[in-house]
This record gives sequence, C-alpha cells and structure tokens, in this order.
Amino acid sequence: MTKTDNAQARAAIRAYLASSPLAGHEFQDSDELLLSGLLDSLSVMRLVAFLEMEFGITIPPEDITVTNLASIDAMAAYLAREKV
Amino acid sequence: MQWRHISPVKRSERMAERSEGMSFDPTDEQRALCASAREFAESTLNAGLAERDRHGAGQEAGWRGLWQKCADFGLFGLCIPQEYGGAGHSTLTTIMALEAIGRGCADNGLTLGINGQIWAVLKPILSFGTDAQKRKYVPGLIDGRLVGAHGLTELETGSDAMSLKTTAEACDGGYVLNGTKAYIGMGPDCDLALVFASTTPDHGAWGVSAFLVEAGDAGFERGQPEEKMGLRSVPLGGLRLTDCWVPEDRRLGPVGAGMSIFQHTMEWERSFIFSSHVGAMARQLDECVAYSRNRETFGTPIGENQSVSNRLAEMRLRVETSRLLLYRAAWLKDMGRPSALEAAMAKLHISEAFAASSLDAVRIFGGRGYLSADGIERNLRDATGGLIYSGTSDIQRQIIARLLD
Repeated sequence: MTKTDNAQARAAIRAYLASSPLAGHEFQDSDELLLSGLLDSLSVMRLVAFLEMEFGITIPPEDITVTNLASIDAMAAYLAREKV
Repeated sequence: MQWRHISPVKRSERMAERSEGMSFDPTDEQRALCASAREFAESTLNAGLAERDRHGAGQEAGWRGLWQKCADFGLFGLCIPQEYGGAGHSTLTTIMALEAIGRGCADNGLTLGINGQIWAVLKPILSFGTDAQKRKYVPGLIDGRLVGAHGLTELETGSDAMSLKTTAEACDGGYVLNGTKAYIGMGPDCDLALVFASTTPDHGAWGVSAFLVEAGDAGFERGQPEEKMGLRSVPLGGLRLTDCWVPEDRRLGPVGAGMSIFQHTMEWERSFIFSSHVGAMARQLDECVAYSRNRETFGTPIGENQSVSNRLAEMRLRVETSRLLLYRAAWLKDMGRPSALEAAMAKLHISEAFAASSLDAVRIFGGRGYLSADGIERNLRDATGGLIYSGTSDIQRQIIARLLD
C-alpha cells in the first residue's frame, strides 16, 4: 500500500464511520473506538463487512481483534500489512 | 489504486442477489442419507426416553450410550473435513440429516446435545484451531470418545456474555484460569470444554480469549447436573476453574480473539442448533394430524372443527418457514457468505415456532396431551429452553433490528 493509497483508505474508513455508527461524533484517526465503547460488537461486525467490501479482502475471524481494529490508525496499518 | 464505493442498490435487489442459485431439492444422495438417519433415530434413540426425561441426565440414564451410537452412525462428523475423520458433507446436507434425526428421535435433549457438539464445539475448533489442536481433539469429538462443552455463560452474564468475570493470567508458558461458568450444556459430563476467559480485563469484551480445557486438568471441576424444566435427558450445569493451568498451545485462536470466536460460533449455533427441532416439529404435526382424524367428538373427527384445523394449518406453516430459514442459512454458509442476520432470524423463528406448535399440540390432544404418558407435553417443556439459550428471543430481535439496512 502506497502512502497515497493509505490516505485514501483512511478517508474511506473515516467516511464510513461518520456516515453510520459514529454519525454525530467527533473523532480522530488515533481515537480508540473499541475499548471506548464507541463501536459495539454489532457495529464491529458491520465495519468488518464494510472493510471487506470496500477493499476487496477477506478478514478472517481470528484477525478481528483490538490490535487490528482499535482505531482508524490500526485499521490502516492492518490493511497495509495485508498489502491491500 | 481506485477505491470501490458501495453503490446504493435497492434492498430487494440485494436480497435477490443473495438468493441467486439457491435450491433445496434434495439429491439422491441426500435423500438416502436422510432416510438412513431417520431410520437410525426411530429404531435406536427413543427407547427409555420417558425414564430419561423423568430421572434426568445422570450417567445411569444412559445418554452416553446413545451418544456413542450417534457417533458410530457418523452424526458428529457429517460436515467435518475428511482429513480429520469426518464425512465432508456440505452444511446443507448436514442439516438435512440432522433434521431427519429429529424427525425420528423424540429425545429433544439428545438431539440438542448432538447439535451443540457440532456447531458450538467442533466448528470453533475447526475455524480457529491449529492443525495440532484439530488433530488432537476433532477425531475424538466425532468418534464419541470426547463430549465437548461450550463454556461461555456465567451466572451474572447471560445475554451480556462478554462481560464475563473468568480470568486467564499468563504464567509459566501457559495460563492460569479462575472463574465459574453456569448453564453449560453437557458441562457436568464433558471431557473437553471451550472456556472463554479474560486475558486483558482492562479491554473488556476485546480482552477475552478462548481456551481448551480438559476434564483431567488440575483445578477444573464439573458441577452436578441441574434439575430443569425440559431437555432433561442430557446434563446441564456449571464448571469451576480454580488456579487451573493450561499450556499456551491450548489457547484457541489469538490472544483477544474471544469476541470474534464467540460471534463466529454464535452464527453457526444460532443458525443450526435447531436443525433437529425442525424435524421434531414435522413429527409433532404428523401426530396431531393423525389424532385429529381419528379422535371424534360430537360424532365428527375433531379435525373438522375449524379451531383445530386452523391450528394444524399454523403448525404446517411453522414447519415450512422454519425449514426454509434453516436451509437458507445453510446455503449461505456453503456459499461462504455472511449470515449473521439469517442466523438471528432462524434462531428466533424456529425456537418460537417450536414452542407455539408444542402448545398447539397440547391443545389438540386435550387431556391426553397434558399427561406425560404420550410425551406430547414433553415437547412444550423442551421447546421452552430454546427461547432462552443461544441468545434469548429478545436479543435476536435486537440483532435483527440492528442489522436492518
């Protein structure tokens, strides 16, 4: 993933979160989304479905952890590791 | 790279796309398997049921012998890959066979236990286990040597399952588990338990991990079978872990993947735990139709009364809709598609349908249905549990509403 792609990925995730589960919330890329309770388990399920569809990947269930999904930063890093 | 964006497709079109190519016409092989399963169930699994229901699920009740017969028939391995000793059938073929078991076997507790072992123990091990874990546990779980339990629920958690208090502290190349589980199906007699515990309590639900605990592990105790309203033929009870050390290689999946393992497992369990109960509903309907044709009041069969025939019609509708939801969820799984919504709908509808039809059956049979001798009332007691376990009906409605587009 190039620097430009990564910025695009962040923008896409940000737009998704702002449109639905976090509508009306102010949030930064580094903000903790899971442990803070901003995203509950069903929101995370929908987020994973969005990431899979948006980036054309399959996220195995064992990758659905706080390490990979805690924040937009963490998601971007995960996508980079997966070489999206 | 161009990022793809989701186009605003109409809901009806998305639903049509999700159903494209769906066919539930059984193949010759599926018909033969179902016929064989039903014959096996009718001839083998019903003897002594009234006694098992009356006296509960102590070992003297003999459920373990029936369990072994089910294993010998190949029930536990239906959808397990052949490399681990299973038959490698599709999910759809598997649930058709399990439905046939329910059609022939009136022991709803036993069939629930069988389904629990397949969907809530074997499936997570297959999905999250290392190759070594699969080779160590899967053969025993399908050949009858091992009875598995899904050790998630605690007394104070219930629907808020991930607020569990059981802890797992990293120590000496493994983990020390402490805590108490409750309402665990097969727990009192399990040989292996999939136990969920918090490895990072500060992370709440995202700090939970899963572990494979063996009956012989020091500090692991299985509770006595609880007395209960229905499903009495198999045990349910607590598990206690007191400084129970398990090695690192018995953690299932990564640290902190407990939430994902739970969600993944619930999708399987909620979709298919009632596979055999759909067969039971069909058998129950057959019994009610036959009785309504033969039992006469005021000189006519009771089935000619509209109040009775309406009940039969509703029961038939519940069988058909339950089967369709079950089969569709299986088809989605076989296509590798997500099915959280379909799982919640199947769980909610089939459990409620079985309870409603069981009460209708008691009404149709009247006084005879209320007495225990014919087992009509047993279905009602058995069906009530289904409104609670694997997520209550209220929770399923919440999930469905949250997953609406």
